[in-house]
Amino acid sequence: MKYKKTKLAGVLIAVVVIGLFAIRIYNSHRFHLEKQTRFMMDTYVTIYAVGPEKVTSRAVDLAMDRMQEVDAKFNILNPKSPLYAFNHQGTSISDPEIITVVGLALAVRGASWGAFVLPVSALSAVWGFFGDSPRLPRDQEIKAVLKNTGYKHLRIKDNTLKKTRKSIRIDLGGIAKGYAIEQAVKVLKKEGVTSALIDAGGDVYALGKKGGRLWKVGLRDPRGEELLGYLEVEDLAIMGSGDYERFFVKDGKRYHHIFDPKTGYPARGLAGITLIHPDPVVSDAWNTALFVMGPEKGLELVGRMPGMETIMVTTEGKTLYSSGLKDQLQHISKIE
Amino acid sequence: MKRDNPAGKESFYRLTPFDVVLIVLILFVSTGVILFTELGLNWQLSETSEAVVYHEGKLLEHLSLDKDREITLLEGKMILEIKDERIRVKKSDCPRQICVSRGWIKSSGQVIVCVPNKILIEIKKPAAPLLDAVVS
Repeated sequence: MKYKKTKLAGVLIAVVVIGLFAIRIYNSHRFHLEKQTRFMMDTYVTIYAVGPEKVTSRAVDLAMDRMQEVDAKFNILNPKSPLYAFNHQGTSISDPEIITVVGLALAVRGASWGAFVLPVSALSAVWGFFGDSPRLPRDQEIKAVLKNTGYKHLRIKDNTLKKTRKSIRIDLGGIAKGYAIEQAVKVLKKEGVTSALIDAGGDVYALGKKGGRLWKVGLRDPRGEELLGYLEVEDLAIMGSGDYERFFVKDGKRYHHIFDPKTGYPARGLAGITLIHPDPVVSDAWNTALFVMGPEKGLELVGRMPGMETIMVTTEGKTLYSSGLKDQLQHISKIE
Repeated sequence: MKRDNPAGKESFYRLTPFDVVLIVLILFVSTGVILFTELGLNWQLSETSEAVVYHEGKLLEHLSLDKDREITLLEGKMILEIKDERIRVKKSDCPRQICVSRGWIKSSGQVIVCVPNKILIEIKKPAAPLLDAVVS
């Protein structure tokens, strides 16, 4: 009898162990975390995707490829880009992707009373933010650049972008990253990924949830080493801008790389902004526009935009929240 | 043909000390396996804080943040410094010095990137909640 019982117990143990291992293998297959990093768009891009390895590794590869494709097309320094030909030879653009993004950029420009512009790179260049040594340019230099940012010299007609003044140059730096992220999300979804996170140099899109919980995204404090806190999100783009990314200090004054298109000088009032919106393109373009508009006007406008939320830190160190976000920010003390 | 005798059946269902040992063993093994499968991830996370350095997207080094020191990367192109459980790029040969001006990082999910050198430094901390990314 005892022998029989031992056998039964042995079988039971074996079943339990094999069963649990099967569950473990199944789970690690189902909840495999694929992670890939590539350097592009003048920064890094990391994509995390949760799901069966076969699905996620292919999806992440394709999403990365797509982002590199967008990067190449929208890079004004790439001689093969239609933007390069437009800027240097005046060749009109009929590429539907570029037309769409230019259209979106013009819409944001209109809605933000000119706080968002296409030719930021001309200003970056005159301020030396492209090279090794940024500098304070003379007034006349800035005015000369501003002359060539006139929107009335751009025309979109019959899905073709033309310019009526030769010297006009455009670049889509303030919106192209959002577009690249949007395209990557499309690829991931098409390939069957329902859970992913794209981190493009600190601009983040969270697709679905991370397994059973929400994605946790920290927010940088523009002045300190600590974080402001973190948000738990799904299906949202969270993008940041700040005067800490590229800047120099002269005579005690900080000059950074986000310019007010009306003056040609760095926008004042905010040290950093985080913008949250379901659409990464909207998030990318508006976070620059709102940074330029400043805290009062910016917050008021966010209140009128459906689905848009923001956290702003002023140059005096005050943190401002849009109404829908007040209680959403989790404190970082829980982390450390 | 003789079927199971009633006496034998009875003894089969009677609990003996040996059975108790078996039941405890089964429970023990099952619990152990469940813990192993469910909490395996947490065991991995309960290591000390570290910075993970990637070069061209590939893992280059795991650096524990416990000990203050300097680390030379890419044959001296970059020097990292670890101090008070924080890490920064102390020196880099890149033109714009964006990685150096980024300063110290210490929270999980924070990164320093040097595009010219294709270096990414990421903080990993054991304690939950672990951040998936940091917007900056």
